[in-house]
Order: sequence, then C-alpha cells, then structure tokens
Amino acid sequence: MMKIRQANLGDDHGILTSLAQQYLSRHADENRFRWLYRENPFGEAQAWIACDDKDEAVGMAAVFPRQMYREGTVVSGCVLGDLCVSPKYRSVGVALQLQRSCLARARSGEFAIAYDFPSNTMLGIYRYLGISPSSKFVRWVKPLRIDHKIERIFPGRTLSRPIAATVNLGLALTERASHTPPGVHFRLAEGPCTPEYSELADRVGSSSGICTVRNSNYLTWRYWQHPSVKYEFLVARRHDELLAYCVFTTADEDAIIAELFGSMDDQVLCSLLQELGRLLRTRGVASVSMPILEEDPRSHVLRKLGFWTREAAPVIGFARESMVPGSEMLLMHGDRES
Amino acid sequence: MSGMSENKDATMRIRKFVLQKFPLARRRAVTDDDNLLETGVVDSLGVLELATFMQQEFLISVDDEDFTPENFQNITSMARFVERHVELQPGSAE
Repeated sequence: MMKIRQANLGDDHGILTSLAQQYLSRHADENRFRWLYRENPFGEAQAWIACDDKDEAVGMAAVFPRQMYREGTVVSGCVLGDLCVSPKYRSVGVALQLQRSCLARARSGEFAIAYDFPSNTMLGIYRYLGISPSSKFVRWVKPLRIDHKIERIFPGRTLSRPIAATVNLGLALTERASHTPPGVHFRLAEGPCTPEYSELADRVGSSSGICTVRNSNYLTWRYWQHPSVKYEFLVARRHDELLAYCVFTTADEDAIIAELFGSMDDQVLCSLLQELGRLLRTRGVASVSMPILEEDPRSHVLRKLGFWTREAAPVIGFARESMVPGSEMLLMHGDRES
Repeated sequence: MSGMSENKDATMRIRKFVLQKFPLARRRAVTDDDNLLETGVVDSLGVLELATFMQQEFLISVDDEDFTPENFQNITSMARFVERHVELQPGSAE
C-alpha cells in the first residue's frame, strides 16, 4: 500500500534531493534544493513524498510559491513541479496520488492561482482528473547564423564558407531594419536587480494579466542566484529610466529568452530583441528561442522580427476550482521551475 | 448472469477496446494473456485510458491504489478486476 506524506524540508531534504537526482535530473543536487525549496523569496516549497509498504521513498512532487498580479492586486500563487517516481512504480497510480496531493494544496485557500507545464504523461493524468489545458506554450525561434547547417549540407569549406557568410550577412541585415526609439540605449546588467525592477513590475505587471510579481528580490533569486544556469540581463533604458529587460541564457549555440518584460511598446520590444540578436551573433550563437503562451500579445513582434513558431506544449492554469484561460495569463520560460 | 459469463463479456468488451485503441495491439494480434505493459503495447497514458474506459463501460470506480501492473497487465487481469469491482457495486447481487 502506497502512502503519501507531506515532506518536512528540514528532515527530508536528503530524501527529496536523492529522489530528484535519481528520477528528475542529475543537476538536482543539494544546491538546487536549497535554492529552489528554501530560498525562494515568495516562500518555501511544499513537497510530498510517496512511500511504499516498506516505507521506502519512491516518488515526490512539489508546489513552489509565487506572488502574482491579478486584476491589479497581488495574490498568492504557485507553480507545480518536480513530480518524479521510481521506474519500479511507474504504473501511474503513484503519480496520480502525488498529483492529487499537489492539486489539493494548489486549490486550497492558500493559493489564489496555480499553474503547471505538464509533460505528456502528466497531461494524461490531468485529463484523467478532469482538467484540460488552458493554453499552449509555443516556442518561437529565430536563426542567427547558419554556419553549421551549411557545413552539414556542403562538407567542403571552400563552398560552405562563402555560402554561410552570405546567408549570415542576410540574417544580420534584417536586424538593421527598425530604429531604436530616441534616447533609448541598451546595456548588459552587471549585478543583482535593484529596486527599480520592483517599480517596473508594479507599473507594468499589474496591467499584464495574471503574471508573476517580478520584483528585484524574485529576479535576483531566480536568475542571479541560480545554482547551475548562467543568465544575463540585457536592459533597455531611456536615459536612466528602466524601460524593459530581456533575461537570456546560452547553451551550446542556442540562446533562450527566459524573460522579456517591461514596456509593451512595439518599438522598444523590437529594438531590445534586435540588440539581443546582434549581441548573440557576435558570440557565434546560431539561434534564439522564446517560449510564450500562444495568446501572448507580443507574438506579432516576434513574427515581425523573423521568429518562427516551433513545437508547442500544454499549460494548465487554475484559480481554485475554475480554469484560467491563456488569454488572461502572461507566462514565459522563466516561470517554469523544473 | 453468472460470474463466468460476466467475465466473458468483460473480456470481450475490453479486448474490443484494446484492439480499437492501441494500434500495436492490432498489429501484434495480442491474446488475452499477453502482457501489454512489458511489451510496450500500452504505456502509462494507455493505462489511464483503459481505466477511464472501464469506469465508464462497467460503472465501476478505479482507485489510485488500483493502478498496479497486476490489474492492468493483460486483458484477462483487467476483466478479473472488473468482475471483482462489479461484485462490490451496491445492488450488484440482485
């Protein structure tokens, strides 16, 4: 008989880390646990552990608190994550029981909003529990350089180099098409986020539908203090005023935009993304991706800049017993937890 | 209806659903005792679909604890599971 119990983050940190490391990711070490479960400025995570009849831990799941804007006010929310089960017990029942525990907490009075980015298996579990996806998380991608693709098609350098150079030049020229708004300049941030980010979150976030309160504490924790991924902030300012920022990370030759936040002015967004494109191109990055909800109002900006849609994944949002449509939420890659 | 004929009926209806729903089951012409989980004919999502089918078709409830390989490994074991749970339904002895 399987038992589900709420974890005590102090006593159970070894069990939780070991389960996550075995069944989720080898990067799920003690540092990640401390950062993700204990140091979140919006509150500690809540986790559940599944134990078999010998009291051996065989699975876990968690909810991670968030503060979120909803209709101009700040409410408590959470994102579900870290659900994993030993392969020995992957007969769905354990995952179902763990998910029910998470959902019960996410729908309790403690959280006004909850969301999840389920895998296909988890989506099956949600559907079994009578919950359908609210929206799709669509990955937009833009090629920046195509050296390697050309090299694969034309193995000889004599031919591949001039072709790649020509196509790369064509791709780079598309970045020169629009103008930076007067007085706006861009810079990579050099250190943790200052209170001006909280002011921007208050100014913009409260009118952006349901979204995370991107205050300076949250951003510093989420990105600057991340234990294993190096994020960078490209910031747009008009004179000294913070207008918008883009948080990105690069792995191999591909960059991913975790946040694009601030002014919703098309010209500011376009010029910020174009500046990012120029920066990434100088670093030899081959493509840049930005996953957003399919209803995201900035989709047309991405299309205009030459981004293409690629794969889509389900997103589930709910406010206690009712579902939240994608059109009411603003979620980005950085809102995912595991 | 006797227990044996109920079981035969459940076996037949589950077999029909399995063959309809899972292409690999059709291609391999699975028998009632073939292990559907170990052979990859049915994955964990498939188990959820089977459970949903069994609940709707036989008006039984499948608890989280019932999701074990023993209950879902083949058509025969699913039919036995249904038979046990139909017996437990209120009014099923009439």
